[in-house]
Amino acid sequence: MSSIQSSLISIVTVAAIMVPAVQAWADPALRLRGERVHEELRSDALISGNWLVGAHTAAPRNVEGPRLYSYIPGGADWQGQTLCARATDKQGRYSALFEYHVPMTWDGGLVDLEYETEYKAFVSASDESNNGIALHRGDCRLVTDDFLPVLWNAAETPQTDADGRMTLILNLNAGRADSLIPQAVLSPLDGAAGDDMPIRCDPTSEAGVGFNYQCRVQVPADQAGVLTVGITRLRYGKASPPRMANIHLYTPEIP
Amino acid sequence: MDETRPVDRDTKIPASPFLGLLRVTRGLSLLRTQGAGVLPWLLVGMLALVIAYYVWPRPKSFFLDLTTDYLRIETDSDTQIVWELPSLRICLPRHAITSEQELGDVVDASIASCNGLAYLELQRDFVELDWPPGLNLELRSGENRAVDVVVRFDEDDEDLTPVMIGDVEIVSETLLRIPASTFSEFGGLGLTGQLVVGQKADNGTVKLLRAGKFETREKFWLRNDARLVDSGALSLGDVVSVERMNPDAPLSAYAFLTLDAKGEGMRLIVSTEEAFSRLRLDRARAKATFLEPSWAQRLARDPLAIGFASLLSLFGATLAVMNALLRKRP
Repeated sequence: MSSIQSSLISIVTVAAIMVPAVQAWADPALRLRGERVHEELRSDALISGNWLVGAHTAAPRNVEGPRLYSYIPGGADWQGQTLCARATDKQGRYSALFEYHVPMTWDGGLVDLEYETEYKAFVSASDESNNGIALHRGDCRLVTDDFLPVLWNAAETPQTDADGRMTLILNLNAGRADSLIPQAVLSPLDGAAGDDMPIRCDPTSEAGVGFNYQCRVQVPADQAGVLTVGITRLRYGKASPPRMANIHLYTPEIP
Repeated sequence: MDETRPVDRDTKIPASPFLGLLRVTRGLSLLRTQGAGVLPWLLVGMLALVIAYYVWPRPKSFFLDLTTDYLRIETDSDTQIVWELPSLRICLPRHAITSEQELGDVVDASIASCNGLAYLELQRDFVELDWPPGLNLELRSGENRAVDVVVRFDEDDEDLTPVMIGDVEIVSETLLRIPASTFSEFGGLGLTGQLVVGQKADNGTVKLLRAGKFETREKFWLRNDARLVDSGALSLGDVVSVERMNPDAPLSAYAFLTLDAKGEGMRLIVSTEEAFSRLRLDRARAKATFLEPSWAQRLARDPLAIGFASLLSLFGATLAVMNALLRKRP
């Protein structure tokens, strides 16, 4: 995508966010029906080839049932698009694909993504520490680079620290990497130069086939933008080219 | 066929797999015979006790002899083992270095073994390495027969003292390269801790267990030595570990590491203490299996049982012969 195009889209997105009545956190504006493409809970592990297998906003845990929320931006980038939610648990035993269709008239805001599971008990006990969701643009046939952070079995309002920053939790399948070099740059939607965000990646306590690293990125809670995450894997003393993902942050003004 | 045999005379039973079962039932019905006394019951009771003795799980010790390119160990405080390394390279991941320490000269880029952008590479000679408990060591066979060690630990753990390699305080995910000459100049390296050898042969896995064999030993009644009850071979891509029956209590294994004489990766011998434990075998796309000897294997390897069985059969045979010789013919 050319820079002109992307900045145009950015402007449209900003307009789409700013012009309509400002949404507060909480209360989903829309409930999207989920189309279950695939769901499986195996007794053995299945190796997945995807590397970003979970992108979440840290929020207090909500105990009632499968609950998947996400702040989906408006604008041409997202209106009428298909989204795919991929679930991958730590051990690689559970995998699920759900497709959602964003309405053409969508203005951005909190969306309740219906998650009708056959494994209610397992899924209800999930959170980002054991079973992650990666919600990306496009249908479930192919993983794209554009992700939206989700609130997975969590409350609607993200946790913020004293500096007004919220935490994104990313689940990574780093394969058999010895170490990771993470990098995160938050670019505002107006096309201005991005800022480096603090990011830290740690191996999960048990090495899992589904994911084996978890990264935490601190981002301002009140800034919409695109967070570009790059992960360089180190193995046998060599560095492999970084893998990149764009995480789109939507933020209404906090009342 | 002997026409006088009572079983065949009383009932015409066709030869079938059920015949044996029928005979057992008939044998048991003898227990109800008037005047038999307690002796048959005593015999049945003893037989039950003997079977229970062999079926009951008992402490085991394991011995493994493995050729591998990969092993993982979590160090514990069981044994203090010091490695004296004539020389080694330390590759510190630059992104993780936070402390300001004077590290001296880094290895020249032309002879560096690690990526210079990602790692800070140091050379140290005559290093004494004393592994503290709580570290995760991943050992792999590297280039030029070196052994690569990736050291991982929880940097937020306040109980953990700084991990030092000589004068260098390392960070988690540091890569150490131990050259092949160490094994000829210092000797094999000892390790203790929770040990896992090999990786699952998943797509794209390079370092695997190549081959190996295991021996399971158990102690028998009235004997002090642990006897071999089970043994077998391990294949490429097996992941093998020894764990306690109670999974909460880790089992510390001792491993001795050297280079394979034929130039094929690392050679490792492992022994575990006698404990209620089992050998765990993981393979790609399969559930974990546990290699445990069966009661029949125990029975077959117990000298007491073998001795008794021989004596009893000899006694029985003698009785039968005497019976045949001394019996009055009709």
